[in-house]
Amino acid sequence: MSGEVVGRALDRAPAAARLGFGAIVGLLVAGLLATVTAAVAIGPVPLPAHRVWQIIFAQIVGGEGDWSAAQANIVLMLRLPRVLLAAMVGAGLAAVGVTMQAVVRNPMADPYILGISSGASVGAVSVLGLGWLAFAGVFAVSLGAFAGAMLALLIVYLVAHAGGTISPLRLVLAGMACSYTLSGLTSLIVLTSPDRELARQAMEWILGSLAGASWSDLGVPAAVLALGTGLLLLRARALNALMVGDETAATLGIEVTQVRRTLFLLASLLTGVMVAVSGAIGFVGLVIPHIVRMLVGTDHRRVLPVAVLGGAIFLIWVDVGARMLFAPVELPVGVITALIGGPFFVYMLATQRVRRKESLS
Amino acid sequence: MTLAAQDVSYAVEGRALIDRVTLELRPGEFLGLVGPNGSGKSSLLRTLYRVLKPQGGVVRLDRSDLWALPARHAAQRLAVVAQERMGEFDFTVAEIVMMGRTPHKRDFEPETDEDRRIVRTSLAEVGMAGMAERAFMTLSGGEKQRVLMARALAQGTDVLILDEPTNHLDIRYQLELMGLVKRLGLTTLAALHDLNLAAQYCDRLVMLEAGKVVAAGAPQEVLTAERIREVYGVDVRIGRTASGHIGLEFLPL
Repeated sequence: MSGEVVGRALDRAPAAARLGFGAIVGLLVAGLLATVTAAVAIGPVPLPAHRVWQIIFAQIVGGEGDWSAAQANIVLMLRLPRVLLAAMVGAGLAAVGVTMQAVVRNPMADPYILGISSGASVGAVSVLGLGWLAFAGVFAVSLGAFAGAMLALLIVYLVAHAGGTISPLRLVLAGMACSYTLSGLTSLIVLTSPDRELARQAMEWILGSLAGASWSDLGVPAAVLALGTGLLLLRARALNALMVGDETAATLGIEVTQVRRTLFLLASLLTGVMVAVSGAIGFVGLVIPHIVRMLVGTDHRRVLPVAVLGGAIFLIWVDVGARMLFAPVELPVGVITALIGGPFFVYMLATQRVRRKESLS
Repeated sequence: MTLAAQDVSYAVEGRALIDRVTLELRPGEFLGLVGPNGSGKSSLLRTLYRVLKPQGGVVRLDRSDLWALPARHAAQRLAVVAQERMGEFDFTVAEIVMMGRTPHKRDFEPETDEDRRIVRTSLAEVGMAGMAERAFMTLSGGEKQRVLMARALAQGTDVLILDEPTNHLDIRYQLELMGLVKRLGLTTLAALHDLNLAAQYCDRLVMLEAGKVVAAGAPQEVLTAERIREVYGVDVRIGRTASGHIGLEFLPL
């Protein structure tokens, strides 16, 4: 008899979950399209939404329309690449946040917990302050940031990888130690530089900004994002098991050390690329995963896709805020993620607790 | 299918946690691993479920070296209920039990009706049938233990390793769980604290002291007054229970 009860609960649950999940993904995809449209339309020169798509469509299939070259320029050269970059960075950071929280089994983890952003900052500030990598031209800062991120990755990996295994605790501690050291190095370079502008430039870079994005910035992040999230999705079951515990994962047939190493490298690569193009935009990677789990539960096969879409939408809107709220002055997008994300997260936590209490009573 | 340890040793900083342990599980038997705290029960089990790699000796699952198998293959034949403090997460009971199907799934292979049927029957076996959609974190210790048992059953293996499976359980569920293990007829190795429970349900016992096997055999052969006094440091009166098992009454020395 009791078997029948659970039978019904189970038969209903996956169907309901699948329907709910499908509906959520559908809504988010529609939301993402609407968000991209709105974000391209909004600006000092507002454009109607249909005009945005007419211009994009005409650019793809060819053809002319009754819009000015200036309007086409605003859509195609200024706003669209920036909006797309925001979407990719938001998606990437959210996916990495989800992964990191499972890999180190710590809800406080974010993409930067392993020192990647500090490494990137050192790289970027070295380029800005010391003039390294001048041969790379406009890409010098990104290249420096990526090199710094990979340096941090290498240090953390070597420190955490003791005795053939990687423990979550060692990863976090190695990441923290590396973070502090590299942040100190960044401060040292900034403070001892004769260039007074450097402090402001460094600050802006460290807080993260999507300003000035162009099509040439999009290729590498797009490729890495597609590849990275694809591979993460393939490991979703392993992420579930790792979240329960290393011994449990091992007894469920997961090669724990090998999987953790792969996930760590994948997450670091994704973070490194995102940080290189936009600076260390905070909070997306911490908050989006939690909000997503509140919506769809803990199973990573649901969490990852929803986080990718949610992160993209979130960062596009935050970037709209960054360019519009104090226009014509532009804020670093990281300032807004913190100012909006923090209170919103507190609100989510508060309501979540109420709901939990209700469901228990 | 049987699991066997031959001369398995594991030491930490020169101190032997387990010292040349040899034991073999016979097909279908319920083997109890007993011994006082720190005698190496959990460490021995860990070498058998691929968490502590033995520094000496070999663990065999049938004819293969367990530690040379891919983790996934091992997990298709060997299920474990370990004593692990779990991270904070919001999985449902059904999701936890479904994880038992992990070793049978390729990356991104969806769950089938068969998987869901297995999860259902596993939950029903441990008396948690109505709890599938509950959040695992909100369960009591005993309920959690039964869910983990259901996950091990969902793995569909011939061999089962249990580390103190009756910890945190009320007496009723202790008996139910031991009865379930017995009834399933899987080849089972369980570390057990409670000697009376071990005597009542296990076909054979292996007793560890300081990482070494000091006795192996039928419960009444292993649990003698003399040996318990030596190994556990307590006096014991041994009688027969109404159901015909040996019963132990412990007394301070």
